[in-house]
Amino acid sequence: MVDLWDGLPVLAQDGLVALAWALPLLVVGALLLRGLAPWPLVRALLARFRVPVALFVLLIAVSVGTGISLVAFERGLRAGTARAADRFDLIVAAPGSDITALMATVFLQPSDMPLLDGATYAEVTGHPAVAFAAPLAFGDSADGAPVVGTTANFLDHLSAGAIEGRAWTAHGEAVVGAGTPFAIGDALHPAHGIGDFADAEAHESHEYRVVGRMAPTGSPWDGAVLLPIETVWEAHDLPTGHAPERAEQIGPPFDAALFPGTPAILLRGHTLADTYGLRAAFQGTEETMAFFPGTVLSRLYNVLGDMRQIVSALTLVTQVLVAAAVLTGFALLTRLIRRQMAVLRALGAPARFVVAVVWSLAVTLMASGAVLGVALAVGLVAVLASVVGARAGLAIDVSLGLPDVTLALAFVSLASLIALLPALSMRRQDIVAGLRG
Amino acid sequence: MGASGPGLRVEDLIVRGDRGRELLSVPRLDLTPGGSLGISGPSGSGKSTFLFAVAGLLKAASGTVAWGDAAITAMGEARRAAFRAERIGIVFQDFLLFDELGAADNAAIAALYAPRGARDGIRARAGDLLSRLGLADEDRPVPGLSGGERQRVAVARAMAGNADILLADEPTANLDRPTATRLVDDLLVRCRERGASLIAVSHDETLLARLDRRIEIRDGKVRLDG
Ligand SMILES: Nc1ncnc2c1ncn2[C@@H]1O[C@H](COP(=O)(O)OP(=O)(O)O)[C@@H](O)[C@H]1O
Ligand SMILES: [Mg+2]
Repeated sequence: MVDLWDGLPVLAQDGLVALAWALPLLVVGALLLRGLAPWPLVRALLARFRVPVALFVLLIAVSVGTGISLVAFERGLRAGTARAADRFDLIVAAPGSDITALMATVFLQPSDMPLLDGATYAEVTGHPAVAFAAPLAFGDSADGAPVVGTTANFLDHLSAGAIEGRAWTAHGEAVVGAGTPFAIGDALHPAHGIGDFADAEAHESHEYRVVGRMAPTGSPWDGAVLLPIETVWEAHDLPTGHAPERAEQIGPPFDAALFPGTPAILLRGHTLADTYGLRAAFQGTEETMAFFPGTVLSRLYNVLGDMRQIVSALTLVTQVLVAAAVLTGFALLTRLIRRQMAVLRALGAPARFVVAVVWSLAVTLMASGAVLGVALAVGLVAVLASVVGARAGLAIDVSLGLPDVTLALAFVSLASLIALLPALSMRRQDIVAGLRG
Repeated sequence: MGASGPGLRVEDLIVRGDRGRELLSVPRLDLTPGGSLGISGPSGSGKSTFLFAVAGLLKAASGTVAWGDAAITAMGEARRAAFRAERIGIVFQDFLLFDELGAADNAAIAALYAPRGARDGIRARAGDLLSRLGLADEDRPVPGLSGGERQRVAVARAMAGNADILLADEPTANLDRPTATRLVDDLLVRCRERGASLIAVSHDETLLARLDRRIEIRDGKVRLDG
């Protein structure tokens, strides 16, 4: 059975889940409406109560819409962060918290990380399995944008070669991300630290000139300024990693004795097995830790995954509560049609017809609200994605899928069961009392 | 034309209201098949209660109500509803039409819950009755109709199901004389055509005078008149 399920295409699985959720609605509807035609009356009653009906529909739309948006947005956020980590295969840093290191490197969040010294840098980058290595020296900023000192190979790796202008060829030249407000030719003014902690005095004698601009990557790096690591060191009045007679050199090889240190190194092996080997070699040593950003992220997702289950459940509970509130208001509304329902039964309509009228009214209300809610969610998710995406520098995928629509369907289906309560209470109404009004 | 409606037999009927208060007591009442009966009496004396009882709309404390062979007091709720749908047409006091529907939809309301096969017949009869009552192609919603027009829609609704029992509760109350006279004519002509048995509650002497017999209800007790 499980094998059969797993063998189905995803779309078929989603479709079956949707169908399963729709089942209570379909079964109750079929049982109640069989052989009856309450729609002309239901339509007329909806038109008569259009103001409260519109209010109820709006309420439901907002609750369903926000519920769907939250779930879809959370999913988009996960996909966006995973994509941002894509280009960071293996990160080596001084021992400490891998989550802090992940936030600092992949998401460029300000943090105070210890440095790897020249000997360690030489040992790590000199490992025979290394196919690609680049230092990542962050912590400074320039005109509000985070600054990262690195080597030209990383620039190439991050931008996949898509640079407008050119890569740096000398000290003091900068390449900026697509999300920065800087243009080629601009002069940038470095500060020590980032944001509120930036200390502009520190590097006041220095200036960076923008020579290139990367194409968008959909990651926080779009907001960064990349520099030769030597320039970052110079700004701190540190050695440049090269002997004085080669002071103009940028990029490797570095002189271990003159290497001021870097908080992180990005690595990749010749093969996947090599990369795993590198992780084994540098994880948990005296001087280093090594981690896959993707793995740390999935660990985070796992922790947040439980959270997500809870949020989804709460979302559904909230929606059901809103439905219950609306149905309470609806039950009050049905008092206004008590007399008419009594007339119907006095004329000989089966009790089931009266139940069907009240239930159809409620379900039409809920279903309209849910449909409107899905439409609302489409807009809301787009807004959330662009606002949060812009603030975090992440490209967030915003598409709604069948599972999201299923959430709305599940809501209508559950609400249709709750709607049986006011509907069935009509059936218990005394006919003569109803007629006397 | 058509077979005549069933006779009515009421025996030892007692209807109680709140806290067991006796609302109506009818030791014995008979109506011949296809006959008509007028009921008069002061307000609050139990006339509507009597109509509700013979329509099976309330549970009698004791006694029997039978239309022909059908003892309505012995039926369960669902069967009484089915019996009403098939056999009884009611014109309520105050009409009790559906304000949100037009005249035609009101008259044919039974089509919404009748068996599929009977719906077209109901709609056709409702349309036919409305046009014969002078309300052909009337699509104004009920609130736009005059009292007399509403009364005629109510009569059309009562007869659209081809009932052979017609119950009318003060059908001419609130109508001016000419309108009332025309409505009584319509009612009686329709009943005669269908051969329906008719019970009408009314204070209207011109209506009562045109029925086969009349009774008076006072304080829930039936007094047989002429
Ligand atoms: N809405 C009501 N609730 C409780 N009792 C009522 C109600 N309407 C009428 N009754 C009781 O039923 C009795 C008979 O009423 P009804 O059959 O309507 O009288 P009639 O139609 O002759 O005016 C009244 O005396 C009153 O006590
Ligand atoms: Mg009355």
